[in-house]
Amino acid sequence: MNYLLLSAIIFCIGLYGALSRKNGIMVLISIEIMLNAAGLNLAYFSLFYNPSGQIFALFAIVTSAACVGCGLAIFLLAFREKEKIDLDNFNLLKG
Amino acid sequence: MDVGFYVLGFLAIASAMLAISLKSLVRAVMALALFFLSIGGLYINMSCEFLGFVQILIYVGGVIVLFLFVIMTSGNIEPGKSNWILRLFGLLSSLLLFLALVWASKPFTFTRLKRFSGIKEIGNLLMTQYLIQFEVVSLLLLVVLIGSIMLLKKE
Amino acid sequence: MNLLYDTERLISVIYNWMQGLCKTYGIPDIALLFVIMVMVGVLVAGFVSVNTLFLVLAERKVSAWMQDRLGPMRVGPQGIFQTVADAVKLLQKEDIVPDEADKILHFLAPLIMFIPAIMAYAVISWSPGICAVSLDLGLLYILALSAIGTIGIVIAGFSSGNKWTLLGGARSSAQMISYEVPLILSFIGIIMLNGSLNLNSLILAQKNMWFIVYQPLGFLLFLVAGCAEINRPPFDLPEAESELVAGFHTEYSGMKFALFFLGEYANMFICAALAVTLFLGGWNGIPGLPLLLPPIVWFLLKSYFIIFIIMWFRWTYPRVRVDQLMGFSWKLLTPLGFLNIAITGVMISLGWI
Repeated sequence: MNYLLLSAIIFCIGLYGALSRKNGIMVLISIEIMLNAAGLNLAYFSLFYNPSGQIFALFAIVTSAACVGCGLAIFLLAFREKEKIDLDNFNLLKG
Repeated sequence: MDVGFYVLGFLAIASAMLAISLKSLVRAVMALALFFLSIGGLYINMSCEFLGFVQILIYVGGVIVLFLFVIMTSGNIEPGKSNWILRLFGLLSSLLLFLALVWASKPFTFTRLKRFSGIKEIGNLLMTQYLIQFEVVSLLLLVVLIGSIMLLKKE
Repeated sequence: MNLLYDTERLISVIYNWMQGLCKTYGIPDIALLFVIMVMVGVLVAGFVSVNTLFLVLAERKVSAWMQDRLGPMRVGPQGIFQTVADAVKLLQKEDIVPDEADKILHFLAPLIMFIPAIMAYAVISWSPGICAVSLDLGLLYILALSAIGTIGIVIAGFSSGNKWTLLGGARSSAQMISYEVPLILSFIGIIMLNGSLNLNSLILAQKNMWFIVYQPLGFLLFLVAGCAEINRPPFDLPEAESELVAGFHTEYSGMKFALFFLGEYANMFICAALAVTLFLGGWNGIPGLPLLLPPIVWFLLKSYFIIFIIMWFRWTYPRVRVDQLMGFSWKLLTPLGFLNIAITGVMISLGWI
């Protein structure tokens, strides 16, 4: 039960960060925090059902590593174009 | 009373708060590294040793170093000033989510599995039941590798 | 003297003696546990510092020998106290923090590099029974710790507020990510053969035949990637002294600089000890021959031989360029690592091993 509460608190911290910060890298950091909270939950439930939970946590780790690799590549590209990684500047599709 | 849980849990919450609130990007990433370490410690504390070490190996060794590399090449830029509407909105929605989570989680009555599922069991599951997912994840990694090279390639 | 061969008995004799002392004086068991932990910590810390003093001297003597010089000769007979004098000099130096530096991170960086380097000694198996923790996931533990140590270098490069150190740190981060992949791939063959990540059981499995016989390609990959992972020449780009002044530790002086030095040599010994444990039979003697020396002597002998090879690299190959470094890892070492895994799998399924 404690683990579930902890993971809920961490997830909410991550959500607050993702919604309130404007810098792209900070938003990515917040998303990582949320993914880790989810992983904690999955691993905790694996203690009660079967080890599948750990495998899902493993997949979450791999997927979030891929997410960071792709996201940082996009931010680096944006930095080359605009000289800063501010999410308010990403409005090319606005028309 | 699980001392390891309380110490590591406090560390995780404190470092997560630091990571989203620090102004300097590198310091925020270092706080994130501490957060990943404490989550790894929590995994080990709940006797998922394999998951804990993989967490430290991939997050601290890969993700954090990648973050630092990008910050070094693009400069330790001051994060954009966020206005109070965004902050209020973020605070409200995260509080609402927290309340919803607490309300939704009923005290459950599963019994803890007797035997710890070791690395052998995880390996067996990965190679039998979850084989397709495993392959798809490896394909995903390949796609990300090629995709990020294509994105950053100079003409 | 026999106890040196049968170290398991040696450990149990010492433990029983200490337990007896506790019984007679009425000391609780938890105090005994605490004393043992402190003793192990002191032993490891002492080994790391003495080993560093010895290795620095050995490095200078070996390089002098390869270049047909004498090396340090003034302090003590044949110059053997040169590094002690250097250490005393380093301790007296003023601790300088640059104005531009990020003070907190500048202070933390040497610690982040040094502490994981020492923690890795916990799972090294020196001799039968002499092993602080016999961890089931020992290999993974060492890998995870080496991943943490990298951050220390990168942070040192960033926090000094100097362009040279920044370049050193950025190079280090790229290098570490690239070379961790072939390093891990080179293990996998061994893990497939043995089915365990415990360093003790890996050594026990090599009683009759060393794994280098089955995995020659893996050994070469490990040596090259390990060399890059511990920043040794020809892969010492983060501190390339002819390009970047002194690389990531340009702005460090005194004890903090000494901590970087200690961490680097501690990592070097870990790399050599891991190579010996995985490929050269650990504390086993030469297969087929009787055990002529105590196991711990075998272990140290082989480890220092690997360290000698790593030092040999330094004076044989010129330093590589950054693009060559990355290309070498991704275009040559990583495919070779996958090839090694494929060959091992085929050989196991055909029953040749």
